[in-house]
This record gives sequence, C-alpha cells and structure tokens, in this order.
Amino acid sequence: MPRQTLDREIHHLQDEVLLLGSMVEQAMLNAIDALKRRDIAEAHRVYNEDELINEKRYAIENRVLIVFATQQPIAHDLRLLAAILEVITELERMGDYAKGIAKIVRFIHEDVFPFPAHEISRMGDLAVSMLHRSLSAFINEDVNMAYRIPQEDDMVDELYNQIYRKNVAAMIANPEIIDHSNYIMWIVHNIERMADRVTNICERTIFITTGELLEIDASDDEWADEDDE
Amino acid sequence: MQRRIRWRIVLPYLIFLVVVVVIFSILTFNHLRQLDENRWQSQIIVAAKLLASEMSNDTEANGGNFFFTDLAQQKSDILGMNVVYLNQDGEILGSSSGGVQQFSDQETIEELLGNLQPTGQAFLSNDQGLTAVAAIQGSTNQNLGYVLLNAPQDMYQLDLTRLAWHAAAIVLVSGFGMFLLAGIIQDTSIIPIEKLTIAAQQMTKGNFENLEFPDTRDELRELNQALQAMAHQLGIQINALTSERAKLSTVLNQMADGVMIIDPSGRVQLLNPAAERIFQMREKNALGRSVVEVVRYHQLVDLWRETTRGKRQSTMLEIGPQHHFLQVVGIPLKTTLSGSTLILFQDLTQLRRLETVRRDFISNVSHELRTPLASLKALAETLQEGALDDPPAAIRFLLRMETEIDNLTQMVNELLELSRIESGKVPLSFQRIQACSLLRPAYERMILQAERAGLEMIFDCPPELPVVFADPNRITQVLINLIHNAIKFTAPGGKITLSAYQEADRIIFFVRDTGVGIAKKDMGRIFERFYKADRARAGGGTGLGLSISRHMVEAHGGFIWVESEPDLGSTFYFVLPVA
Repeated sequence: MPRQTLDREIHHLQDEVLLLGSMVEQAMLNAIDALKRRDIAEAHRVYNEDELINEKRYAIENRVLIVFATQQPIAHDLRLLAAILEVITELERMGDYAKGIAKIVRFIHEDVFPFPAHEISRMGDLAVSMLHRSLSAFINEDVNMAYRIPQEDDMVDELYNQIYRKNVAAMIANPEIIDHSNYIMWIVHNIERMADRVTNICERTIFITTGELLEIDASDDEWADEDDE
Repeated sequence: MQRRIRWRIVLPYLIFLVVVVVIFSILTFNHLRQLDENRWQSQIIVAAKLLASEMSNDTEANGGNFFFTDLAQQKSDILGMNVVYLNQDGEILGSSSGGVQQFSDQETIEELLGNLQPTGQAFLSNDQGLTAVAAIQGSTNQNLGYVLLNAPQDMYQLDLTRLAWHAAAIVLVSGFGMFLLAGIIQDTSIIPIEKLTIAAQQMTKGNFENLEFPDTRDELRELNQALQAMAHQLGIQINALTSERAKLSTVLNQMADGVMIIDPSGRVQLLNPAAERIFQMREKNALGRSVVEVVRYHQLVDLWRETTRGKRQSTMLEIGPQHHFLQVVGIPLKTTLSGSTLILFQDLTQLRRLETVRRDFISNVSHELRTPLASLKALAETLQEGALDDPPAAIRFLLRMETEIDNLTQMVNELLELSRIESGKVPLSFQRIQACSLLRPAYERMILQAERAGLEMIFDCPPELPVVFADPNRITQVLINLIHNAIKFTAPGGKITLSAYQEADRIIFFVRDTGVGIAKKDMGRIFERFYKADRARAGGGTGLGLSISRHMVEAHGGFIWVESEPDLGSTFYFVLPVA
C-alpha cells in the first residue's frame, strides 16, 4: 500500500515538474516574442507571471518535503526526489531569466535601433528546445539523451558570440546605440545562461540512474556564475 | 495427436485383455492338472492293488520265497513306475532301481501306512510324486506285506507350454485387432472433434471464412451445426464492426484536426496522427502516459483540468518553438466513456497567416490608392485656389494630374488583371515556340531602358534549346516585369543577364542582375501582392508585378523562384515544361 502511495506521489511530482518546465519555456518564448514585436503589454504579462512560476516551485518543494517526511523514500526514489528539488530550483532561475528579458523589453521597447532579432529568436528556440528535451530525458530517465543535450550548448554559445561581435561592431559604428546594445547583450546573456542551466538538469538525470554526480562540461561556467542573483 | 488418442483407446483394453487371459490360463492350468492328477491317482491305486493281489496268490502258492528286487525291477519295467515291496512292518524287501534311494528314509512309507484305508490301500501326493500303497493279503485276510507304487513328478506332469503360447497368440491377435478398431473409432469420432477444434481455433484468430467443418451424422451433428451458425454470425458481426472501425479510424487518421482522448486518471487513451504532428509524439509512445507528459504545455493541462469538472472549454493557444497556433476545445465525455475527456485541436497557423496577408493587402491597397488620390486632391485644390489664372502653371498641374491618374489606372488595371489571373479567367493562347524566341522580344523592348539607366544588358540564349508550349505575350510580360525590377534595383554600371538552359524535360529561364539583392526575411514574401522589400526604392511601382508574374508562370504549369545575396545581386528563375 505505501509503495503505491509513493509511486503515485512521484508520478504526480514528475507531472508538476513538467508543468513548471512548460511555464518556463512559454515565459522565455513569450519574452523573446515581446522583444521582437516590442510589445510592452506582453512583456508586462511575462514579468508578472514569473510570480506563478515561483509559487509552483514552492508548491512542488513543499510536496517533496512532505513525501520525504511521510514515506521515507530510499535509493532510487530518494535520488529522484532530491533531483526534483534541484531541477525545480534550476527552472525557477530560468523563469527569472525570462522575467529579466521582459524587464529589459520595458526599457527598450521605444527604441528604434535595429537588433539581431533573427539570431536572438533562434537562440531562444534552441535553448527552449534543449530545456524541453532535457525534461523529457529527466522524466524518462534517458541517460543517453542527458549526455547528448549539453553538447548543443556549443551552438547557443556560437550564436551568442555572433551577436556579441555584431553588437560591438554596431556600437563602434554608432555610439548612440551603446545603451541599447548593452541591453540586447543582457538579453542574449540571459538566454545563454538558460541553456547552461539545462546542463544541470541533465546532470541530475544521470544522477538518478547512476547515483553519480558529475559535471558534464563546465567550459563556460566560470565567468557566468557570478550573476545568478 | 492422432497416435496418442489411438493408444489411449487401445492400451487400457489391451491391459484388461492380458489380465483376463492370464487369469483364465492360470485357472485352466490348475484345473487340468487336478484332473490329470486324479486320473493318475486312480490308475496308480488300481495298479498297486493289482500287483498286491498278484503277490498274495503267489505268496500263498510259493511260501513267500521271492527275489523281491528282481521282481520289483521286472514290474517297474512294465509299468514305467517305481515299484517297492515291503514286509508287514513296512521294511523294504526289494525295490526297483528308482525306488531305493527315494524311500530309504522311510518317512513317506510310514505316513502312507498310517493312512491305510480299511480296504487296504493308501495314496499320497507330495514332492516325491504320486505314491500308492496296497496291502498284500493272504487267503485269511492276514497282512503279508505291501506293494508301493511311485510315479515321480516328471513322469505324469502335464506340459502346458503350448497352452501358454496359445494364450499369448490370442493376446497378440486381439491387441492388433483392437488397434485397427481404435483407428476406425478415431476416424469416425475423434477426427471430427479435431476438425471442430481447429475450426474453433481459427475463429479465435479471427478467421471466419473457409473454415473446414466435419461431415458427421452422429451426436456431434448438433454441436457441429451450432458452431457453424456461430461462425457465420460472428463473421458477419465482426465484419460489420471492422468496417465501422475502419471508417472511424480513417476519419481519425485523415482529419486535419488533432484529437486526443484522456481517461479519468489523466492518461492518454487516443492520439490521432494530426495530434501526433502537433505534439511530435507517436501514439504508441503516448498511450498510457499522463497528459502532462504528452502535451507538455501548462495552459492545455489547465484546460483539461477545467474540462474534467464537466464543462466544455475552448481557447486559443500558440504553442512551442514551432509556434503552432491552435484552437483547442475540451469536451467532457459523459455517456460513452464516462469521466474521459475529448480534446480537439484545430491548427489555425495557416489560417492566421492568410488573415495577415489579407489584412496587409487591404492596408496596402488603401495606402497605394491614397497617395495618388491625395496628390490629385492637392493639385485640384491648387487649381481652384487660383492656379487656373496662370495658364502655364495650370497646364503643368493638369499634366501632373494626368500622370497620377495614369498611375491609378495602371494600378487598378493590374489589380483587375491579377484578380482575373488568380480566378483563372485569363485566356492563354498557347503555341509551340522556340525558347529563345520567347526571350528575344522582352530583350528588345527593354534594352533601351536599360542603357538609359547605365546598365549593360546581355542576351545569352543557346539557340539549340527545344520548343516550349506557351503564350508568348504573357511570358514576354513576365520577362519585362523581371527586367524592369532588375533595372530598378541595379546601380549604374551594373549588368543584367537574360538567359535560359535546359534541365531534363523543362527549360529554366532566368534574369540575373548585379543589384542590391534581397534580404533573407523578404525572400519568402516578395511574390505577395503589394509586398515591397525596399519601400523607398520601389516607390514608383505598384508592388503587383512579381505577383502577376508568379500567377502567369503558374498558369503555364511552371513555377518561379528567386536566389539572392544582399549587395551582390539577385537571380529570378522560372521554369516552363518542354513541349
């Protein structure tokens, strides 16, 4: 009987993690959409809906703690629940990145300067797709997939560098847009950080099945970690 | 199967038969033995008595002086038995050779003499065989001695081997007969049952046609008929169900809308191909999974949760990196699949795009009409406000008005033309014409304009190209449109190439310039009505030229496309099939 209760609880929690993930994915896509269309109302919505993401994260955390207290899970279940705690933290942070982008859109929506909308949008789609699949891997405990996804981070980094160089060139050509370009760099940086955090979810996926905590490719984590408020 | 049943019938009977024959044989043997022994008994007693009576006469006459051993041997030779003569006390007087050692122990003799009947005889059957004693009596009935006759066992025992062989032969023959009979029983009873079994198995597998039923006239007949009737009925019903199912699944598989059924516990029960495409998950992977795992979209999950409370829900959503724009309807299933939820997804992405095109078109038309109308209005007002009094100025204004009206007329004409082509009402006068002869008129009509714009125009058409089937006037119009654009977007000193080549059974015509090129984001849209990639530069045109060209080429069964590199130039291609 208790075993069934635990299974049901775990399944419910996994569903909730997916829902939280979907909220984060949508927030990120909507934030970038707001940027592209300079849509201040959309940006406002994304900014405010971050509260829902935070609430959901705390609700899940509470529920996990209750399961710990009442079911005393061991082995695989324990690892899974611990990993869920970690993953929801990552998701909440990603939600904050979306919120950060929305905040910047509020500053710059009246600017008329061109910006690499196409590249940003591609970067966002890539990061969201990585998150989406990493959560699939997490739920299905697909270790192979969990190893593969972080490798796509290189593409995101490549786009980041492209946009960075374009922005620098634009700033040199026209000092008027330095402010604007800086804001754009912040946005792009947020997306890049989000993709990095996907790696952490993949590490947790590997942890659930193998019990090993390993760092999959820490190549670009050193300088970026400081800005995690 | 067949062998086993045959043996199952034969074996018990065979065992029964063997037991019966063996018991019968044993009883018969014993009985025969008994009969034989009785016969021997009476004979041996009679013989002993005869010998005794012979002795009594001789003893009377002879005074009892005999060579008993010789006598015994002599009698033994005649009778084939052991013969022993005893005195009154039972001591051996003489014996045939076989009897000496047999009766030396006296035990049998004492037992026999103890059992002596009043008539003077005794009989014993033991392991020494059959033995009889008769008293030798004198004339006054005094006892003179005894005669003992003994037949050893091997002498009288019956040989029953032949009888045993007969019994074995009976068992064998009847066993074989039984085996044959079992075969007949099997053919008439077991095989029909087997056939029925096979038919039933076939039915389980869903095969209701070409079943083989046995031909029986016994107790199986009714079962047989019932089974046949059942197969027939089931076949009809299953066919009906299958075709019903096939219809439904065809509808589900072919419909453009996504369909998903979710059971009360939140697991996906059905996902049609359209829904598979939307959520990028095969049905077999989705079945039994929770709705969250399959749709991965919180607003959809919210809609599902609302629907489970029993009210129909509907909403518009844009989901995923593919930006599917969906109309989602959640319907609680009450009667058929109680507690389940049906969710319908209508993909409106395409519709929304068309909506955008339509909105753009109206705003474009209004905009394009407003500009010349506004300047007409301004010119007319200027004339009213006194310019009429200045004839040279008035004439200039009127000329400007005429130009604006010409522009308007041209645009309205082009719009009409476009709508006529789009609705397929433009008659095309097709004829067989050499590919280069299609290019030549356009070249000749535009060469002057190109030179005036400081451009070099090259005509490069391999004369060996085959004949195509086309309306030369319309194709010339297409080419003039393309060359016109090339002139407009190419800086002086540039180059325009007009050429064609063959690829398989089609001719590809192209107009290449060294102009400003087209940005990637515009490439997909430049064939739309009124679309102008660069408004400042294209200001003069109506924005309809490429749209008309596209329709014209498509009316010829070909297609048109563009390749371009910003700042390096563009090439417009169109294809016509070889005649």
